[in-house]
Amino acid sequence: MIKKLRLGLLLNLFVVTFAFAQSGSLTGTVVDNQTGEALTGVNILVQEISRGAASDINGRFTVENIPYGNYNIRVTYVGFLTQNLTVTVNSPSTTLNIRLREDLIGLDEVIVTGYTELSRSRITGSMTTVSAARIESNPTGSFEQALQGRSPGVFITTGSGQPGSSATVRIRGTGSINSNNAPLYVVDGVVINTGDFASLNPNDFESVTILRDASATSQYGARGSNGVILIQTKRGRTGPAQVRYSGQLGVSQVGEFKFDMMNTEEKLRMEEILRTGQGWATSPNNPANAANPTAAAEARANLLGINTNWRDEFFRTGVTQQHNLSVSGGNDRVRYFISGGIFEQEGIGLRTDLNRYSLRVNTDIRATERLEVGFSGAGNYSETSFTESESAVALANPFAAAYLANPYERVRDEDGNILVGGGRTGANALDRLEKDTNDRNEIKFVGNTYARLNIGQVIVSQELGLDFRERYFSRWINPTSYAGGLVTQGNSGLLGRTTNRLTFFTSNTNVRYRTEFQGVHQLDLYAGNELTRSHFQQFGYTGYGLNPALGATPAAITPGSPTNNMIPSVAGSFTQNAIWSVFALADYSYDQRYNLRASIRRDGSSRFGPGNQYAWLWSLGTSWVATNEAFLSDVDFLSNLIVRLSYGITGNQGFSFSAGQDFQRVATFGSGSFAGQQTLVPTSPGNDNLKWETAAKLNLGVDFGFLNNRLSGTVDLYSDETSDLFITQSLSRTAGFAALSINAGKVRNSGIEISLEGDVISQRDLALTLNANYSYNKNEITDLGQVDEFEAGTSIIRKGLPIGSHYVVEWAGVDPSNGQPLYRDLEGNVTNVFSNNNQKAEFGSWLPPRTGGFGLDFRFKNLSAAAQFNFAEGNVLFNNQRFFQENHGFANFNLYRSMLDIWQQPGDITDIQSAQYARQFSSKDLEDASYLRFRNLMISYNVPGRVFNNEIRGIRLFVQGQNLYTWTKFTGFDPEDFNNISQYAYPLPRIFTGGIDINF
Amino acid sequence: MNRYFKYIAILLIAVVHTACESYLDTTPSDLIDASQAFRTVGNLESGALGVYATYAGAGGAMVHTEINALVSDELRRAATNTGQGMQLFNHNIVSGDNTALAAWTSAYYTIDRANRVLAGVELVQANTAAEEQRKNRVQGEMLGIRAWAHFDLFRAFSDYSSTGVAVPYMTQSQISSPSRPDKAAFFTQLITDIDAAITLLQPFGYTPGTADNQKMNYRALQALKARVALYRQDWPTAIQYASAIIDNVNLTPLASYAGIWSDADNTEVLLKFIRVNAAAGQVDIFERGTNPDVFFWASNQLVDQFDKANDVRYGVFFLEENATTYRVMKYNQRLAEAKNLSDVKLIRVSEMYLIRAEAYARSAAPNLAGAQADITALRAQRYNNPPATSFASADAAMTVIRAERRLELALEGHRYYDAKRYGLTLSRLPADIDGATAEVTATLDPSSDRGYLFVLPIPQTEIFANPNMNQNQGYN
Repeated sequence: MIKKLRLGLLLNLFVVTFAFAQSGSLTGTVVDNQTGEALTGVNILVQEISRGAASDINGRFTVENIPYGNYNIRVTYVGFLTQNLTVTVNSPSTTLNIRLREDLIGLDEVIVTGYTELSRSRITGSMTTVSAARIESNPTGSFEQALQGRSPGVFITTGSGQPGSSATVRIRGTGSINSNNAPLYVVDGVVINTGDFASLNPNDFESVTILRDASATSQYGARGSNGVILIQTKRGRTGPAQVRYSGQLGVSQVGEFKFDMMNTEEKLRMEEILRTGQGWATSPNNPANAANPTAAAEARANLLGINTNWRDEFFRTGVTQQHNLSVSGGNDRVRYFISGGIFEQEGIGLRTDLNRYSLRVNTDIRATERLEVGFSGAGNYSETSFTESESAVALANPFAAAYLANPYERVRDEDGNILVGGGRTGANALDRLEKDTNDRNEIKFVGNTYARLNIGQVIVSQELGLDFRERYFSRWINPTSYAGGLVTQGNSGLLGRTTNRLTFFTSNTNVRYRTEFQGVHQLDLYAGNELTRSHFQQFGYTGYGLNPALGATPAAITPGSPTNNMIPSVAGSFTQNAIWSVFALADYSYDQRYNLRASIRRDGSSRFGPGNQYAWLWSLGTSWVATNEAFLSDVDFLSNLIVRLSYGITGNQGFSFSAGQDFQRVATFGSGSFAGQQTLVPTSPGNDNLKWETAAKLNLGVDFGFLNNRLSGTVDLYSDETSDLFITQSLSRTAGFAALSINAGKVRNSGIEISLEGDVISQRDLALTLNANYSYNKNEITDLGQVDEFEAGTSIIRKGLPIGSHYVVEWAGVDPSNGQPLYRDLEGNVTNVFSNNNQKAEFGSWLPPRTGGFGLDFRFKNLSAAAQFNFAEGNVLFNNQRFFQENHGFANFNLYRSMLDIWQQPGDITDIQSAQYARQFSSKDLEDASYLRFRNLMISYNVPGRVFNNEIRGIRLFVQGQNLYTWTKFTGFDPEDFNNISQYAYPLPRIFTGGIDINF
Repeated sequence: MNRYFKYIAILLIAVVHTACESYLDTTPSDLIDASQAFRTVGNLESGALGVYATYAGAGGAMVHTEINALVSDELRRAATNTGQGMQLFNHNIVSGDNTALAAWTSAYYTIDRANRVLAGVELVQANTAAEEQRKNRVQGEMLGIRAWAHFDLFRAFSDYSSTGVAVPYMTQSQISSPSRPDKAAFFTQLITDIDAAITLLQPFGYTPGTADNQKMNYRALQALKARVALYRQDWPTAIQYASAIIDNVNLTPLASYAGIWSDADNTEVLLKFIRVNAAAGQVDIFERGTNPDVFFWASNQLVDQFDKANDVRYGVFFLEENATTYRVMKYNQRLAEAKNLSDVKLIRVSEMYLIRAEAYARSAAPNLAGAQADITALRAQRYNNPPATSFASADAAMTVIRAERRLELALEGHRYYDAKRYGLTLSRLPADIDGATAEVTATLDPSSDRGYLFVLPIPQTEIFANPNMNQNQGYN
């Protein structure tokens, strides 16, 4: 909408202005047509003089000093239909009272669709916009979590509860097996790094638009295959300055778990059964204790006196707070939005937190009649403290140690010192958290400038964008910590410092042409070229032998010598890639009934070799606004009906950012070291035939509204097929490499997306709106080139199956006669032999076929409540915790309580095999990970402005809860996981906050 | 005016266009294009070091030490073991086993990299006679290590009968799906490589006790040839090549014995990969390098074989924690620097005495005196008061030779392969097994239905990737 205003301003440049002798003011109020409520912040623009005002808390506005004459007034407000009025100013004070109609469908709303913007009724593609109100106030550090369950076709999983960690986002399923599946993120036209949002302040976002089909995404060519997420930040509006403060304070807590760990008595009993550990050492049944049964009994009594709940030691209640202050406004030449924000969040795991400080300046300047320039940029600084060995199956990982540590171990001695030592899993991990550090400081700048020259109906623009990120990692193993004493080099801690710098530089030069002719034809043309260069460089060192008298400083490092084994290590790297593109877009509409969009783009990538460097990508989309047809104008119950159809080709060239990935086209050697000398070793087999993945996308969609749009919704049917998949072909190891990247095969994602919204109650003092969305995505590998399958450990890529399919041996229970684990062979016969040859792929995929969300918005007078749920269904996860903790082989750690059911004698009917036999990964460890999560509940109260004599325009008070409850059968930590295996990930916190929004 | 601007715009776009095209020509700065990797003799030498590094890594040559110790009767599980090595220890050997995969992968990676250097040897021009010499040396070393890694693969993944298939013998770097050749073809190529390597390396000589043993050398290859002959029961060749070593390289004397394992004495070490510091990688087979967790103690059964009072090896190999608990110290003799930091010894002279003694004893016409002399000579450098050695029969000689072999090469990557060679049943003492898992892991009998476990499975990953690869019997 803002951009449309800007265009409006431009057109006015050609209106001849002349002086008047007399002038008057225009005053009035703006109210909601339906409820009669005053609307605050509505833009009223007197077009001919390019001046305007915004309505205050009571809906009142005044535009002073208008020369007498006739004027076109344009009234715009987010979520309401734009109104164009004519008014005559011929007295000192002219009154204008405006009633705005809520725009339930937003047909008239102009939204940014990528490189260009269009009114909603002209859009041919499939896209969803999530407004600021849904993103602001979210108590999480990374914005994607606020989108969970908000849009059909978008599946978001937050795999980690580390403050600021980003979520995994998949739009319309997983289209690529080995390449990047993350969508492209674009902030104000600047492509930014994926999964890297901890330093961005979501409170600056005006809207987030998710592009799904080819018509919407193919403008991004080779980077559009995985969908696109467009973020528009807030910009100033013409009118007096608006000052806004919002703040909130709250706590993060750990949720509940679906498994029980043993207490001391149970663990000792278990160890007696297994004849191992302390339980056996102190057992009266142990023949070794026959000589001195009293001593054993005493030792056992001592142990029984200890019952440490290690979860209480590792988890905490964290404090969360955030404060945001913004000022925005503008006049006919300059508009501005300036904000500052502080976000501080402590994680539920000890030591973890995120502190973010963000600043933003967005300006739009009409420099001359022909030239518009602008700058929008955010500088952000964040400090993150991480836990140890996050998500790793490692004893240092506190979320593992909390469950692995035995309950009969003490945490601290009488003096409060942590009782560290060999095998003391819990205490050793706790000692790391208390004494060592693992920090990251990040400076991130995302911004762009533009210059736009208007030449009649032609606009020539040059835009420059930059995503700059500098990270400084500091890893300190305190020489006085237990881990510090175990550092091989010097046995006195280590200090590692690494700096890396990532820059995405984008230059875009474009020409647009917009025209309307004969009253019924609208044509928008856009042609441009774009260069994106990406650089990544890194440098770091690790020093040893730290002086315990000093802190985490390089000064504490012992200089290395050939004999002291403390030579500091130094490492670094540099890599780069570039994309060069030429592209064009055309949008044509006839009589507001028929729309056509065509796009074509030629992308060149440095990642591919000669012959494969360029790709042509294109799309065609059409839509039919049926309700604008004469024959439907009499159908009263139907308020809106649009049918859309699109087809196109998009690409995917994305690998992660590293030298190995940027140069897969060449076979390479790298250097290593042997016996202190530099070596030369092959690092990649290279494949100069590597080329883009391309996705052909077909979409049929219907947007509808009934009963004056009280019930509205969208249904989309799609079928996307990705060809020339990047596949890691497993090689015979005789080739010297495990795998080779090739293009082979196809994956199809097809499905249906439905979203519905209904106003159940819509009265002045009472309103209830329900929303729901549901997506079904069928993922299928339809071709794998020369082969039918690639096995990879416990998963398989096989023609006919979805990506992420599990591949294990089927579990068939425990033989009651001897406790032997039983499996099924490929014919389905029960066997007591475990063979990898009996692996099969009948256990589903970790990627859910069915996802969605639903919620409600309720208002009673000034009190509002909003609730949001999301769900995933049909996904199966490997529960690795269960493999470890329902496993007699790990009896020196604490175990699930269910292990007490272990087979002990013939006739025992149980699912826990005898300790005689090795525990194997099997279908036993696969679990249904479907879930329904109560994602967010917010209750707020609007204090009317008149309470404060109108000095404050409005105050909103709120309380909210995040991740309130999860319904699932999964017994691991969290069914919401970003890979096929659930293993001691940082659990998602439950967050409660209370806050206030004040508008001055 | 408008037209003027339009021309500027078109010009601007055209200029930007041509300027940007060139940004797509990127070259890696941290990597070397493979076609440019070998351009000088120095590059070849760096490549050769890369080959050593591949086989010296934690999963490289030492993996055979790990496999032999785990599957055989040399270890006892420690309470602080959290699953490390337990699959092999419990004889729960499946084709998905990661240790077997490491043995397979590290050997074939080593071979492939050696083949790449050998291809480079063909391409690089030597500019001087000295450079020609250096090239020959690289070529000899690479042929030698190629043979070495192939034979290690054979030891692990093939049965030792005279018929049937071996493992693919790779003589050039290529992406292919090779099938398993029969043993005759495999050994023909192996011996060709060893002989060619010896011919190339012999001019460079070998001085015992010097750094000559840090790279592939002709003495190590003669020793390898003796070892190959032993496995193939080719007694005359075994005697010939063992003699070539014994006649020219001394055993480490009794007084310096401990120095072998602290890397101070190199007298009898014919080939090793040195580890200069902990950054070169610790080998955490028996205990963790970074904390005090022990995975395996030495088995009581193994410790009981030693004459604790007289045998100098006992005190070097083991540390008595208590009457039933012995820590493995054989690779832990550089504790002042770091745990588990020990040069990787691939072959030593003492093995030549054992090979020759066995060959004498098992020859068609046994030479019992020769066998007796060899064992006596070896024992003289290992015991303070050597036991009397006298052989009444070939069988009696073999009993002693096998026993001495077990002591001398304990935990050095031989026990499981030797049991396979001899057809021995491996059995553990009750004290060396967890009560709960006793019955399954107590014995491994080659004549039982689990006898197939003496040949490791071809890794499942290879079976999946290579349609021509046949699995070993018993694992299907």
